[in-house]
Amino acid sequence: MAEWHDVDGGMRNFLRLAQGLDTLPVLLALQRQPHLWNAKRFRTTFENTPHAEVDDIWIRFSDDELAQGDTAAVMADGASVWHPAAAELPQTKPLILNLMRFAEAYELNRVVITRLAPGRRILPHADDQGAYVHDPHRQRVHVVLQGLPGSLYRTGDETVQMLTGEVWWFNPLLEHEVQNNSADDRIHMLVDMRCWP
Amino acid sequence: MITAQVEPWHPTIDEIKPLLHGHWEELALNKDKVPLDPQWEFYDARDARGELMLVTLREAGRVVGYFIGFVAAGLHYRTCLTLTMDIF
Repeated sequence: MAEWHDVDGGMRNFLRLAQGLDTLPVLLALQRQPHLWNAKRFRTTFENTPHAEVDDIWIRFSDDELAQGDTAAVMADGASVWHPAAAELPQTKPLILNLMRFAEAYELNRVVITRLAPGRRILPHADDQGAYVHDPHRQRVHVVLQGLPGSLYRTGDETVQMLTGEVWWFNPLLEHEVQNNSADDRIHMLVDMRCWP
Repeated sequence: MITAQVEPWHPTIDEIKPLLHGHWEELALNKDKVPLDPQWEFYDARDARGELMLVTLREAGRVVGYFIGFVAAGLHYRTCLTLTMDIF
């Protein structure tokens, strides 16, 4: 991992959009419904996936037929669909809609909740392949549902600690990795949006 | 990988307390005359006033080290915010 970057000294690969969000309703809903985790395995099992140590829940993603293992097809796919977990996690709706309004988004794309246990990693990778990530309107934001000190996120040569209730934009085209060295699970909701140009 | 991070006093101190006795056994002098007996109420009070700093070292999420210091204006230098180390 890179050394700590001075947050006040010109960060380029991250931007903290908000802090102090109440994430407890979503966390409680997740705690009550453990069956939601890992219902879909594409992201965490495709060959050489950097997310092998992650559990996830798809709220919106490519449809099941497309996400059968053809990574190139998924990487090109901009047509996200709702998955059953969306109906079981209505607590995510206000977070997502408020975020879209704040970011002036006109279209909601993929929404995935990920969980990384203490001591686990997301391996270095860049989301720089396929048409999906190269749409200039599309932005990726992390809503930190649970993040404790020691949950480190590196993008390029900058590393930040993402804490509960914060919302971060980052540049997924650059190499990034995660090390959860905190005392508890790191639980993030990734929200992709197309934003007003 | 070991990482260092500033953490809140509560609840992190509960993870540190089990390490204290071993730390004291390994490092303290004159243990027969100076028993380990932290005045936790004073730590809590200083934390409540924003005068306590806790840094942890974690490996795979587990606390493997710690630094505790007290932050206050210097007695001799009123305008100089000063950290006085408690233990590490």
